[in-house]
Amino acid sequence: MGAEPQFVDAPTGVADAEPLLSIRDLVTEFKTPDGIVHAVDGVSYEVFPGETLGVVGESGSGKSVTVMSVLRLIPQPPGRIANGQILLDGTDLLQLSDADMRKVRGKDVAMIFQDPMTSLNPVLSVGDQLAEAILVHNDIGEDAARKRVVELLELVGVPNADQRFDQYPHEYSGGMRQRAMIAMAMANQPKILIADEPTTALDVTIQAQVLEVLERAKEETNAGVILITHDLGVIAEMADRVVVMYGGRVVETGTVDEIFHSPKHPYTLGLLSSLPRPDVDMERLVPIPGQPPSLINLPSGCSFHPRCHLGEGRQTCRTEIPPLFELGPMRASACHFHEEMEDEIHRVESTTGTAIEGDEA
Amino acid sequence: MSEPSQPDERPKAQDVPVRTGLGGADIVTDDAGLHRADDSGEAPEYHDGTQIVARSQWQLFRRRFFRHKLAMGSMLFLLIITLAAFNAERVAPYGFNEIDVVMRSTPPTFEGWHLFGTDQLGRDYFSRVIYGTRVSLQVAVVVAIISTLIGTTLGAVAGYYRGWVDAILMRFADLIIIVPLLAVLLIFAAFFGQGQPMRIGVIIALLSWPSLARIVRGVFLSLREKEYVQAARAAGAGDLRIMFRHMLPNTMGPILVNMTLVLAAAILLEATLAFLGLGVNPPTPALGLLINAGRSSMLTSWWLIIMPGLTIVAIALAINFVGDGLRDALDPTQQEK
Amino acid sequence: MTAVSTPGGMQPVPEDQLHVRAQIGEEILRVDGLTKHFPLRGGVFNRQYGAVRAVDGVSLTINAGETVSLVGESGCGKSTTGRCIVRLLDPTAGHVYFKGHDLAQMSHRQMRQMRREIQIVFQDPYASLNPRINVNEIIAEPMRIYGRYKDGGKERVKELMRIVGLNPEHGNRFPHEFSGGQRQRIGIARALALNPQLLILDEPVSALDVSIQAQVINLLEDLQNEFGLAYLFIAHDLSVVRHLSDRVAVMYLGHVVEFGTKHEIFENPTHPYTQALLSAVPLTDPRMRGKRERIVLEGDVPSPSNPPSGCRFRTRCWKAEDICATEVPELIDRFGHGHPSACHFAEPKAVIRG
Repeated sequence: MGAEPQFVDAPTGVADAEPLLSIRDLVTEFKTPDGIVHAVDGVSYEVFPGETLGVVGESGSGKSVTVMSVLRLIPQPPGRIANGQILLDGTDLLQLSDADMRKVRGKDVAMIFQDPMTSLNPVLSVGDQLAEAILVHNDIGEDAARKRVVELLELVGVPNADQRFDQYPHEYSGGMRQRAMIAMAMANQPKILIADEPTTALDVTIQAQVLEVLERAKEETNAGVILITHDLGVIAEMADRVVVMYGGRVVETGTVDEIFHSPKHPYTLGLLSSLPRPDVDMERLVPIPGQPPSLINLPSGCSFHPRCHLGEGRQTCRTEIPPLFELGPMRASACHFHEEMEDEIHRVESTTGTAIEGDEA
Repeated sequence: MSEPSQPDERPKAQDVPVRTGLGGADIVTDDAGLHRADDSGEAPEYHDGTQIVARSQWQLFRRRFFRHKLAMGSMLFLLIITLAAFNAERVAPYGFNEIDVVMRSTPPTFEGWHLFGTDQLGRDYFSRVIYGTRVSLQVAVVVAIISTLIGTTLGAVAGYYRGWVDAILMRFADLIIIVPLLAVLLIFAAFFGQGQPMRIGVIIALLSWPSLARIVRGVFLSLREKEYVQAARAAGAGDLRIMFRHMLPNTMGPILVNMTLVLAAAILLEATLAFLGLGVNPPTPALGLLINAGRSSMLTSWWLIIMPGLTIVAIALAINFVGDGLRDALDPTQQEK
Repeated sequence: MTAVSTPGGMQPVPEDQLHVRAQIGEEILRVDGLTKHFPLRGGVFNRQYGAVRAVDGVSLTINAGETVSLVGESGCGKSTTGRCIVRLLDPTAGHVYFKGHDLAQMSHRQMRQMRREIQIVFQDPYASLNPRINVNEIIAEPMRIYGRYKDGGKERVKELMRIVGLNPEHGNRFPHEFSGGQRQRIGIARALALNPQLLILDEPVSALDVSIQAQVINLLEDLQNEFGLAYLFIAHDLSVVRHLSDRVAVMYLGHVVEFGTKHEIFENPTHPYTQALLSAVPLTDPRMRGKRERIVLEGDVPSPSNPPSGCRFRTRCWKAEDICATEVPELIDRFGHGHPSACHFAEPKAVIRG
């Protein structure tokens, strides 16, 4: 199983950049008593320096397992990275020894998790944990590390950074803890910063603060940021390019404007039309019928076909796995009938009462 | 860009109305999703990802338990022992006090089926152990049932009502813990003379329920706040209904596990008491008494102590393993998906 | 818009008339000064040394057939308010008038009759169903409790399952065999079993996947239209609130700080907290980036066990003056904006768009 290798080439004209991170045909599976879970089923995408790549998907889409595979944090067994390459600046991370991989983690590739309470050790002070992240990768003294940590805490907007250094995680609020996590991730000037649902557990006013800090972190380090979330609003606010995932596969890629205003995959359209908006009244939401697929028993052909209006009754959708069709530079869709999407958009718009395409081109 | 190789016959997109029914009511839902494959003529070369039907909780439990080989083996062992013990008359090769003059003080041998040897009077110890096991099991079961009943009831009430009810019940439990079992049994023996298995069992039970009460109380305290309990309250369910229908069934796990622990402890306790002379009295057969009787000839006829002793240990271990298996089998199932 | 803080309400509806459905638009619920404090105990004798003032004088009204949303961030007391209304928690003070009868002052036995009219749907689809009871029984339970199962209860359960979009043939399955969205539907079916007039929905879609959320939202809409249900919709997701509500109450630290129609709140918010909240909600249009005024609040939410004096929002408010620390602002319409706001300096400001 797995789509044919089709990765989008680096665009010409985007500052002649080479991708910082290139994931190619990644396949990660888990052995369970009920069968093999195909968590990641042939995923390819790239991240460029200084950009925020938004990865959108619901639970079971494989978005988190993909980046956990990048960091090689998949427990093997029961997990297994069965195929693929993960090229960071040309080096295949999957071929590195454990020791070399440890040098990469926290330095070249840093990660921020969803729940800051459980990613921080409650019995160590926050400052010590941040300092540890620095000391593991740098040969500097403890004093120098402390200075750097205080600098970082100030950068992420933690007030009274010097005193806060010695405080424990439970003395920080949720938003501050997440900021401390961002500081930890930034500490070693990472090339790639992965944020896995960084604000899902936070209140909306705190979320706004943390996202701002994340943006600042990106600017400071010129890292490529992979922002994983199911919240399309966060994607709209933060991402430059977007990868949409479903059932362990990539179904669409494009710039954030293209994804939101001219989606080329029915799932993307489904997400957009099922979302209520805070600024506009929608007459009626158009939900995606059915349930996300079982990763043990993925539907044959296109994994979205049981829920797809476009694919209803169509043989091709049921039997052939759609490859990622290249629609332009950095633009792709894994839908056999992506050309019919424009009509589909209009059809949906008439029900929701809101425009997806918008006025400005 | 690829085109579909065969043209599909389907209405144009604009002609098909958007399905926005009762979130799916006009489309029959099942575990997988909405589309029912009505084209029954189709060869099953495709499927809509219908999920593997989840096993029922009971099946999940059974499968996990069976995986625990030690627990399975132990259960088999206990089954055999119990059957043997309660059918002692037919299973034991000899009577309890039957004397085989010829084979006096023989170590364990297959000759004449004296598998556990004989004592100085020529009584077959294998048979005596079987009879003795019966008594031990009787006491243990009485203890387990009564202490579980008391402990569950009091623990449930304490955990459900909290407040002063909880405080009083728990202080009462603390008091019971303090009471020394041996002293009570001594006093009891002094007043009422001979100890029968049932009476011994009841006394032990009355003094050993606090640990289970604590456990049940703890589980009830946490279940109390579970949303399905709140939902039942919001629907108007009364206290008894909530306790029996919603909370107790979800407490069965810890209760069962604890019961096995109590069983094992009771077996050991009964043997100890009998050994000390505080439990069942002769001529009623009991494993502890057998060990006591064998004390004097310990050095010459080691089997008189070892064989009953091993039996006690084996039974207690087996019960513990079953408890282990139960715990493993119940825990992951209790965690909701 | 009548100010909510004026006391008094309707005459209590006679008990045998309680289940008669009110006209759409008629007031059926009036919350007046609802207060819930959780005592903090400590020391050797478990003395009370303080209290978590989770809900501190909340007032609002709900009319038949309408949806009133209670919005706020974590710790504002919205869930506690919901639970006090259905008496899963006993209020410390205040009144909750359902058709004139004060639920807050009733004994639990008297409450039993009222429970048929007000039901609650919980947030967590995994914890709100007893894992050891099958779905038929879960939905049937409210009917059994009130002795209404014998007369066609079985059919009603099947009917309810159909109404919420579940296959009635699956009734003998257990909760763990269903997905999150389906479990939530079971919870809704259970809540509808006794044909209530008011549903308290405590974050009913927050724990669901995005694609499933829309299904359940549509379901709730349809049910409301078909059965004339009133909803108290407790949520933190402002987009969902905008879609479903008729009126919105914004809560902060145990108080309602603003209460108005959906459009008043979203297009014309007058309370600084509402404005900050709306400006922080991410918009799903990348072209709107940078086009809105961003109000970023400083500091953290104060602890509800030690709230600031006067206006509780003043520690994070850019408009705060001396009066804010000394005088608690009442929830009234001071300047004729059209809806009440608990701010001495209430002023409309459109923040949701550029």
